[in-house]
Amino acid sequence: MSLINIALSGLRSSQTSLATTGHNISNTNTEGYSRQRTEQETQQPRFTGGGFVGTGTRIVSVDRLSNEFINEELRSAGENLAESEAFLDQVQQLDSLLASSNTSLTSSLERFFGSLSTAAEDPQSTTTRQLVLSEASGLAERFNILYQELNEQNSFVNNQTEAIIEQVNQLANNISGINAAVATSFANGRQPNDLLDSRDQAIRDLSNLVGLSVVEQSNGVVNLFIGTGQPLVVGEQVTELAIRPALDSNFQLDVIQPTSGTVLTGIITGGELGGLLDFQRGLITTSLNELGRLALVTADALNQQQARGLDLDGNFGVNIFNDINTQRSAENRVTASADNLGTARLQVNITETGQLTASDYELRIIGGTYELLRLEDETLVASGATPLPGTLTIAGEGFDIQLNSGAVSDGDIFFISPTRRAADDIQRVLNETSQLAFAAPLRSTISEDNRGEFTISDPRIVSDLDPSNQSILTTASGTFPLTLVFDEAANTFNVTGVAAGFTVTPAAAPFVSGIGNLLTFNITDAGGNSVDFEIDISGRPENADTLTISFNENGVADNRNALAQVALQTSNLIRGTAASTTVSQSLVDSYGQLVENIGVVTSQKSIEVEANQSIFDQSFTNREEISGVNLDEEASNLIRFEQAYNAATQVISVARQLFDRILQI
Amino acid sequence: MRVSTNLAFSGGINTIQDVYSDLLRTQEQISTGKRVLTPADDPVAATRILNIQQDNALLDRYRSNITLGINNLSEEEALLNSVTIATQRLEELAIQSGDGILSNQDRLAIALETQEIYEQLTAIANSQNARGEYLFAGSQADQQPFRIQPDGSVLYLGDQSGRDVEIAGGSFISIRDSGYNVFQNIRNESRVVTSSSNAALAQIGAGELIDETAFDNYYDAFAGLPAPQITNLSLIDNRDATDPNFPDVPLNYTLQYTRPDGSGPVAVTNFNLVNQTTVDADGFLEIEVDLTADFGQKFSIYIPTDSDGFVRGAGDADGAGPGVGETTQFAIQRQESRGLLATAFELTQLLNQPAESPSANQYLSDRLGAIISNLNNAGRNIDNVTASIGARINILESTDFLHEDSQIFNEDALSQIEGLDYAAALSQLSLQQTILEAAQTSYVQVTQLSLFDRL
Repeated sequence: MSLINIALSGLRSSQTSLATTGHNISNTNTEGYSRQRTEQETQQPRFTGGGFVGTGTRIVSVDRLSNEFINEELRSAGENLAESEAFLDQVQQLDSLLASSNTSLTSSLERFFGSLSTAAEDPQSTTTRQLVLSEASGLAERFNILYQELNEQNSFVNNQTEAIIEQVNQLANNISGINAAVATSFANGRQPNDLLDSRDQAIRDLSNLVGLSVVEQSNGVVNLFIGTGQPLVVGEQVTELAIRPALDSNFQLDVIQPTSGTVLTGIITGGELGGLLDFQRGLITTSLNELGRLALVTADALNQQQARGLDLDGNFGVNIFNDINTQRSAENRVTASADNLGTARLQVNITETGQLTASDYELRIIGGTYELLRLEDETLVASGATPLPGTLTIAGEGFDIQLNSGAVSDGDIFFISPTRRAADDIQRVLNETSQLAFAAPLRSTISEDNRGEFTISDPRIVSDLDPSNQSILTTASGTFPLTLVFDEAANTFNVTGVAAGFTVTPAAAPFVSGIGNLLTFNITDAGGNSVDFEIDISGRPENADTLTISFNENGVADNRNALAQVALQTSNLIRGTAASTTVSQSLVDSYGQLVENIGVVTSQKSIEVEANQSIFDQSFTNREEISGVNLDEEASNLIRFEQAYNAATQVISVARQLFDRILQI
Repeated sequence: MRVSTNLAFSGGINTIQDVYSDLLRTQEQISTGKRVLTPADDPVAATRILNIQQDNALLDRYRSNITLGINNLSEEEALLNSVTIATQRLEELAIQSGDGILSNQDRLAIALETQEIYEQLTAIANSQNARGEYLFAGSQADQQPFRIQPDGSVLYLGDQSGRDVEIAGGSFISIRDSGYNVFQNIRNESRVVTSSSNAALAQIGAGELIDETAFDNYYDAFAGLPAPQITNLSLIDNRDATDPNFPDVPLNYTLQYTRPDGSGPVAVTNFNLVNQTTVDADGFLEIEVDLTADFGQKFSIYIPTDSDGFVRGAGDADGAGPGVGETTQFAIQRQESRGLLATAFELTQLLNQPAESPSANQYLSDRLGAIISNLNNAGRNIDNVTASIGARINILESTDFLHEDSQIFNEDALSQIEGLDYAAALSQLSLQQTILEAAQTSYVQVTQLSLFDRL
């Protein structure tokens, strides 16, 4: 073996090393690149009598410096970071939307009830009444705006989901392609360094989009699974994802695998998609429901209180806000699954807003029975044998389900969301300032001819009023004025002057002289409609002393019903939790709780993002430590290999001189 | 540790970005003056802030109600002061007109003043506020509550409602009193009003309540009867008008009454011709009827004499000339309360009647006595209402102080919860600024180090 050959082997090795260093330097900024290193070895020595004589050097391999475990760590850290960041991005928007004083519901509620309070002090004024109407519009619009903002955020999430699914499919196809190439390389016993880097990078990109589990096989092929082990890429086989509208009246999208029909929505975790879906299911829909419930309670409570009062013209109050149970909104509360075989058309009417929860429900028809499931806590709230009754009353949940037409059949599923769209539906319908009902319907008068000393309160209506029993109270019905006459012997107030066709119970109300008494009366008409009212009487009446309870004709300056409307601001009108039917929250409490919940989640998520970020940074540092290119190092390598190359050329030059000497002999 | 070039760059940038975002946050806190910028910054504090803000808004509202309440009540108090002065003046005038030496002219002069006062009181009772609401109409404030009737008297058309405003959570106070409470709900001292069927022949005094229990017991029996409940007292002159000596015949009267339900007549035995012997000189006959045992009242009947000094006939009810058994009727109607305006009107009416004859004079002072009592009652009632207004203003003011204190506490709590400690924040800001500058400088220096530069 000649010196030239030895020198040549050195030249070749140095060239390869220089090329590898050049490759490293050029790829310093390539994402996912792992630095490479040449593995150099002495060539087989030649045996001579004196021993082994070296024959030069050779490059055994170009190695890729990377660590599988650290790569996996970085991938999963990226997955968690992407998930929590996607969630945080969304929830921060929601947080500032609900809490900002410009958009928060609290300020609108406060302004509306404040205007009512002002009007209560001056009930006849058109100006204050106009203010109440404007603020009522403001309140309704605030509900609408919040709904629209949330709905837009929801659409954004849906669009994102769609885009992510497309990218996921593309990346999955990329990876399957790389898998094929890698498998071929491995079969030939070669490690395709750059291919492996780009596959690792593609997997990391995919992980940022959706949570994965990665299984590497001995032949170099990587299999990817999502959800609870559903295949995404197995070898070269890709199972693509797709979307379809979910069964919740088109608010959300379901992620499915069309080939197997599996619905992945509930089981996808991790990555941007996991974060978005988690946010959508956990916060958007519950916030929409919570707002909807507030809208329903607000509209219903004020409308009902309107019905309990008289307007400036002495008519009973009509709705300030639109009726909560219009045909359209009642039908919108139910979505039938597209797979239903039955023909049933359902609608949901709200019966008692105080009992509503912010949950959604699912009505399932299974084996000849129907089951109504409250989804928030997976509780069965009603069940029974099919067919479905014409009206299924769910008293504990504040609504009933009405079968409009058709019939259900086995396997049918209906999604019921009593509150979802209500914040969009609410609007002010009262336009006439004089129609705000600020006066109470009844008033009481003590006769000037009474001999005893006693005082009475104004009568208060206890029952809910609607047109069927409002008519009892009017002068036209003839029941009022009613006269209460004290009977000293029996110690009772006797009701006289009851018109034919009406019954007042008790006809004689017991009274204890000298102390305060609360007397409650019920008036029932021939049709069975009834009204309860109460009155406080205290003092010492004499026999035959009378008081008169009459319809509050021309009570334009009366503000009692306005005060009752103001009181709704702080009254408990809303059910506290799904678990308990107690009505324990005011409007502001309930909204405050929503804001607090979202605040808590936002703060948790931002801590989570910070934690995930530092884990990610650490993993990134770890990977960089092993796989990252250091230019100084490469510079020194460059010098080292250049010098080795130069030295080898010197060896050739020496060999040539030796050869020349021999030729000169 | 091996550091890749990539890491040297990205690590440095990340640190700078973190410090920069902290700096911006501190800057935002300083520019808003708030420590808690979104609920996520401190969810518990955020909820407390919402609660305190709502509480403050409610307190603002209560305090504005209180201010309005105090204005309303002060306005009413001022009006009621005028009413008190007017009522006292009426009382003085009533006492003054009882003086026997006054002539008709004198009384007419006084009547002019009482008429003025009556009109003034009616105007006060019908006062309107700046918004045009009638203050004393109860809840029917768009209608004039005290209407002048064709005969000059007034009728109350309002109701008995006040107006409540909320001055603290669930606590209401009335900022207005109905005309009924102020002007109408005044005890009628004698609990009856009386009238004569023939005032020219015989008049009945206002009556004097002696025994309340007897009065109540008597009317208990007629509890079911609708108002007006009237007892009719009849005075029957038994003198023989055909007697040639008539009217110079001995006086001979019988009295009887029918009850409000029409039962009776019940003969009255307890009556007394007070000045039977001096009728001629006195110019009238006074009969004192004592019905204490029957229904707790005493009445005087005044019958004037004719130009010859004889007591006139009991009347000519049948229109056929005075005869035996001619009867004068007196209605005694139960009336428990007598409005101030009605009393003022009654006084003017009374003073406008000529009262030169002794009987009329006697009758006048009898009536004036009752009017003075009722004016006294009215004065007391107004005093009560004024006292209650004073008490309410006190409550309003003390509640206002309480609210003011609460607001101060709330502001304090709010500034502690969401307020920013500027000293801390500003020093934080300059610290972060220093760190940022150091990080930027060192970043530039570190990243400039490269072996390639030395090749």
